Amino acid sequence: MKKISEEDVKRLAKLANLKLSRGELNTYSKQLTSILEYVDQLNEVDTSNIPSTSSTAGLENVSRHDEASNKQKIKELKHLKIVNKNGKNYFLVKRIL
Amino acid sequence: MELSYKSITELRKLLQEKKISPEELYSYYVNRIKKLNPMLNAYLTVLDKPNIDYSKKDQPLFGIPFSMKDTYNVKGIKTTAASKVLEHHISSYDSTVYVRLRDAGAVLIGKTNCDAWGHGVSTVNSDFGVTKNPWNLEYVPGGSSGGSGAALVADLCTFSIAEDTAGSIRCPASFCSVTGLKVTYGLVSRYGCIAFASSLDTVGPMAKNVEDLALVLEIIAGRDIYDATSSSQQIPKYTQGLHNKISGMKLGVPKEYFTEGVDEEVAANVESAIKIFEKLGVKAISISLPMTKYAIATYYLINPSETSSNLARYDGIRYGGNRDLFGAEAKRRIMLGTFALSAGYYDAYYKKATKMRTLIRKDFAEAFKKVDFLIGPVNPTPPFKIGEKTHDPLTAYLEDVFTAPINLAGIPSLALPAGFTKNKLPIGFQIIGKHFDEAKLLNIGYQYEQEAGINAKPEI
Repeated sequence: MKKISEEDVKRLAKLANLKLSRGELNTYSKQLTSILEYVDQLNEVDTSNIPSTSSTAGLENVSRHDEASNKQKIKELKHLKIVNKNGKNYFLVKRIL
Repeated sequence: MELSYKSITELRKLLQEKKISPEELYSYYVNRIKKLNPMLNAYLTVLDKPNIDYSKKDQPLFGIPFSMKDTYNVKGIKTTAASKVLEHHISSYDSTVYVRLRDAGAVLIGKTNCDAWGHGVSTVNSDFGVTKNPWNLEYVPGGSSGGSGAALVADLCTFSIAEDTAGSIRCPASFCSVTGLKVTYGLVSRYGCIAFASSLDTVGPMAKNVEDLALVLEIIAGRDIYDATSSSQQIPKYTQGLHNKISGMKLGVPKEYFTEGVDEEVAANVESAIKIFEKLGVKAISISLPMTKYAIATYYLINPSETSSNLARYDGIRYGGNRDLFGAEAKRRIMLGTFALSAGYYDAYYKKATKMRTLIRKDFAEAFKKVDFLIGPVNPTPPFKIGEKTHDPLTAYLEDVFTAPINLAGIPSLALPAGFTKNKLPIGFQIIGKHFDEAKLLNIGYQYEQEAGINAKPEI
C-alpha cells in the first residue's frame, strides 16, 4: 500500500504549482493516503487483459479543415481589456530573470 | 396574476395570449430572488434588467426567464465556477448552450451557485458561501449544482442549465425535489462550459417537471462545430413522445443499488417508485451490476486526474487570479490527480482506473440486453446537514456511488422526485437508459410523474 508522506505532498505540490502551508502538508498527507488506501480495492480485480476506456462518445479522429472562422474569433484587443487586471491591451507576467 | 410555480408550457400560454408581458414575468422572478436569495444564496449573479429581444417573439422560449450554473460563459457577464480564482472574471465569449437558448427567445436571469469547479455534493465547497436547502435551511441542497436545485424549488427561475460529471445535476434534483437530466456524453455541446473532468462532463437541464426538460433539451441538444466531442445524432422531438404508453416495458432493479450503504428511507422511497411503474404496466426484474462497488474508487482516480490537467490552465497570467486562491477541495483533487498521472504511478492508478471503466461499461451493456431501463437511488442518503461530511473527504465522495457509474459509462439518467423522509426532506431516484435513449427516459419519467403526483412545495 502506498503511503503519501509530507515529502511526497511537497513534491506533488511543486509539480502542480501549488504553495502549501506546513499544516496543509500534514493534512493532505493523511487524506491522500486514506483515499489511496480506499482505491487499493481495485487490485481485487484482474484487469491484465482488459482494454482501457478513455472516452464513451464512440467518436474517432474528429477533424475539420484548418480554416479560421470569423464567427469563432474573439476580438483579441477587446478580449485583453476585459480579462486583464491592468485594463490595458497586454498581459502582465511575473519577471523571470 | 398568480405566477408561482408555473411550468414553461403554462407561462408560454400566458405570454402568447398577452395576459402577461415578458417584462412583468421577469420582474416576478427578480423580485422573488431579491426577497429570498439573501437567505438561500442560490444565485451568485442576478441580472436586474431583462435583456428581452422582441425579434425572437415567435421562438419557442420567448420571454422565459432561466438561470445557468456559474460555469457557463456569457459574454460580458461574470463567470466564476464559484471559485475565488475567477472571482472577477468577465467572460469574453458565449457558450453554445447559452446562444441556443437566447436564439430560442429565453432570457437569462442570473448565474447559480455551486461547489467550486463542480467539486462536491453539497455546495459547501463554494468559495462564495453554501446554498441553503429551501425545504430546511439547516440542510444542503445537494451539489454540485445546488444553486440551480434551490432556485427551482423556491421558484426563482423557470428552468436552469447545469452540468453533471458524477451526479451534479441529479443530486440537487433529488435533494430539492425537482427534475434533472444527465444526458448521454456528447448530446449537448460543452463549448463555453468550464471544464471539470472532460471524459465525464455533460451539460443538461434541470426543471420543475419532465415536459419542461423535454422542451429545453429539444433546443440545446445536437452537433456543434465548436465542440469536437458533440454527437451528430439526429435530435428527436422529445416533447412529442411523452404521452406514449409504457406498459410492457422491462425495468431492471440492480440489487447492488439497494445494498451499498443505502439509507432505509431512501430504499423505501425508491421501492414505492417501482410500485408506481408496476401500476403503469412495467415489469420489474432483479438484475446485477457487479462492478458497482468499484465505481467510486475508479471515479476518484479518473476525475482528479482530468481535473488536475484542466485546472493547470489557471496560471493567473492571462485571466483569473493566481493558484493560491484554489480552495481546499480543488487543491486536494489537483494533487491526487497529479499523483495518479505521475511517472511510476500512472499504470497502477490512472491506467488501472481506465480499465475498470471498461468493466463498468460492460455491466450496463449486459443489463440492457435484458431490460429497457434501470432504476436506483440518486444518492445513498437523504439531504444531510450543512457541516456534516466535511471532516473526511471520503465520506462525501461515497455519495457518488450510484451517480458516478453512469458518467463512467456515458449513458443518460433522469432524476425524479420519489417522496420525502419523515423529517420532510426530499428523496429522489433515477432512471437510467442506453446511449441516446433520452426520448424514452423522458417518456417514462413523464408517465411516472402523472401517476405519482408529487407536487409539494417548501414553506419559504
